[in-house]
Amino acid sequence: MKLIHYTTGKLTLLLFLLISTWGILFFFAMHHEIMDETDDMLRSYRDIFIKKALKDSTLLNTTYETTFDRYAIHPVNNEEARHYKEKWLNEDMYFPEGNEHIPVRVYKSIFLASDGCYYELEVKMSTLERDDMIETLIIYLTALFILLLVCIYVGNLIILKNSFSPLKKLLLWLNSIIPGKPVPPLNNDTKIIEFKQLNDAAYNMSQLNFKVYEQQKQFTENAAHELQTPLATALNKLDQYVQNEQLTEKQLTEIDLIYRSLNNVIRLNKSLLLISRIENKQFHENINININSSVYKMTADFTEIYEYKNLELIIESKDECNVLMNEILSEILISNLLKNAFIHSENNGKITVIIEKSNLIIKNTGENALDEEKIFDRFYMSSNKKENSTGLGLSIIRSICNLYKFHIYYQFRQEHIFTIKFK
Amino acid sequence: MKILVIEDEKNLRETIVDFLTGEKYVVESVFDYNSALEKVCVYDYDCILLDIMLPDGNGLSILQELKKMHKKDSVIIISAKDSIDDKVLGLDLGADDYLAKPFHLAELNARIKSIIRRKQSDGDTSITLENINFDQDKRKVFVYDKELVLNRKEFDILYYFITNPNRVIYKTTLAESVWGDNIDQSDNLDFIYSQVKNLRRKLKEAGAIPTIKAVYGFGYKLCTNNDE
Repeated sequence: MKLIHYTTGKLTLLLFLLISTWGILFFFAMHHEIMDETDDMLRSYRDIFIKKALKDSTLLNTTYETTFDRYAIHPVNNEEARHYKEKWLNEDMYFPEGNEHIPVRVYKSIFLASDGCYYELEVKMSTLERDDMIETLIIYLTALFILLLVCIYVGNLIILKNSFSPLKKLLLWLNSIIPGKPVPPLNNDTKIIEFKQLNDAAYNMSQLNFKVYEQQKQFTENAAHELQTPLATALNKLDQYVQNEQLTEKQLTEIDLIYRSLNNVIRLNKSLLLISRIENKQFHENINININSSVYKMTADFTEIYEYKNLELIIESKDECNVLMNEILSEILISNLLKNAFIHSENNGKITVIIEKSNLIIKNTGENALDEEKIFDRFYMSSNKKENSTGLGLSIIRSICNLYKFHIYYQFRQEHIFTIKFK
Repeated sequence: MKILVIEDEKNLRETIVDFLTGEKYVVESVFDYNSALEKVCVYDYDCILLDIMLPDGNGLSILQELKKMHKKDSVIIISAKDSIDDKVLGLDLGADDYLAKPFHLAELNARIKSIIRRKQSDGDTSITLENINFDQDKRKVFVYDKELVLNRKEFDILYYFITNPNRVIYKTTLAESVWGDNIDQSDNLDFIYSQVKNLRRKLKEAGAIPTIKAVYGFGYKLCTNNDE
C-alpha cells in the first residue's frame, strides 16, 4: 500500500466520520428549527384568531378552509375545559380538490371567548412545504457531503503527491544503486528539511557503503597477496632444508607433514585470491572456447591421477559446445567441476559427462544428496569432508558462472548432477 | 653466470641467494628500487630476478630502464601478484618469464636454466647431463646418442630432474610441476610412483648414468656419478 493512499485513506475516513456527524447533527438541528417554525406559526395564528374573536364574536361560529390553512371552533363545556390540555397532532387530511392526502400539523387549544364560554380552537396547517424543505435539506446535505469528501480526497492526493515527490525520487534513486558500483549523483532539491536530511543520509550512506565494499574487495586480495611472500619464504626454506643428506626417514616424514600443511595454505590462499580476482572482474579477453576439447584434455589427466579409484568415465558428446569466455577461467571452471566429480566419487564409481549445444552436465555416483542451497558457499563442507579440501572449489565455480551469467545448479538423482547452462 | 636478485623481503632474498650460490652462480642481491636501478645500470647480469612490488618503486620501471639502455639481461619477474594483467604487462615489457609467489626453488632453477640456455646456445637448447642429452624444444631424449622414447608425462618428469640434478624433490612438488593444479586434493600419489618407476626403468635399460633414487617416502633425487 502506498503511503499516499494510506494517508489519504485515513484522512478521508476521519473526515467522513466528522462530516457525517456534523451533517447528521446539522440536519436534526435544522429539522427541529423547521418544526418549531411551523408550530410557532400555528401559535401566532391562534393568537391572531383569538384576538379577532374577542372583538368579533361572530367569528366563533365560522370555520375557515383554504387549501393549506384552516381552522375550526368547537364549544367546550366547563368541565372539559378544566381538564383541557393543548394538543399537537400530525395528521393526514383528504383534499377533494387534488384528490390526495396531505400531511397537516394540528394545534388544538382552548380559549375563553367574550361570551364567557370555552371554545376549542383547532388550527391546521399543511406541512407539505415543510416536508419538502426537509427533503431538500437532506438532498443538499448529502450532495454537499459527497462533494466535500471527493474534493478533500482529491485535494489531499494532489497535495501529498506533490509533497512526497522528493521521497519518490529518492526511492527511485535508491533502486538505481547497484552494490559495488559507484553511487550515481542524486539531484533531488527540496525545501522540506526532513527530505533534505533523508537525501543527505541516503547519499552519504551509499557512498560509505560503496567505500566499504571496495575496501572489502581489496582486503581479501591484499591479504592474499601479502601472504604470498612469507609463504614463498617458508616453502623455499623447506626446499633448501630437505637437501640436507643427514635427514633421517623420521625427520623427512615430519617434513612431509609440514609440506602438506604448507601446500594447503598456499592452495587456500591461491583460491581466495582467485575468487576475489574473479569478483573484481580482473579477467578480460574472452575467446571462443570449445568445451568438448577442454573436457577431453582434462579428463585424461584426471583419469591418470585418480587411476587408483578405478572409476568408470563416460563422455557423451552430443553436440559441439562453444562458449565465449576467458581461457584461464574456462579451464578453472571445467577442471574444478571434473575434479569435484573425481574426488567425491567412491572407488569403482561412475562419472558421466554430457556435453550438449549449450549445456555441460557432470554426474558422479554418490549416496547422499548434498544441500543444494549451501554447496556453492565458501568453506561449505559436506559430511564426508576430504582432508585436503579447501572448501572453495564449488565457490570458485559459482563465481565464474556469476561473472558470465551462466546458470549452474545441483540435483541429486541417485547421483550428484551438476548442470551448467551457458546460455 | 651472474645473477641479480631484487627482492625486498629479507628472508626470501637470503634463501634464494643461498640456493643460487649453492647452484654455483655468482649472486648479488638488492632490496630496494634505487639500489636495484643503480646495479642494473652499472653492471651486466645474465639473469635478473625481479620482484615487482618494491617498497620505493615498481619493479616494472626497472624493466623499462633496462630496455631503454638496450641491455640484454634476461629478467624473470617474481611477483606476489599472480594476476594476468601484470604477467602480460611484464612479458610485454620484455621480461623473459614470470613466476608467481610462492614457487619452489627447483622450479625457479629450471626457469633460470632454461633462460640462460636459450641465451647462450645459439639455437641448440638441449641439456646434457652425463650421457643423457635432453632436448626440450624437440621433446626428445637421447642416451648414448640413441633416442629414448618417453611418454609425455615421463618426459616432463625427466625435465624437472635434469634441471635439478642431485636435489631432493618433494613428491607433491614433482606432481604439481607435471600435472599442474589438478592434483590439488589427491591424497594418493600412486600415479607419480608408477610414472617415476617406468621412467627409472627406461633410463636403466638405456644405460643412462644418472639414476633416479627414491628418498624414503618423501620424494626423489636424480643422482649423477660426480656428485654421489
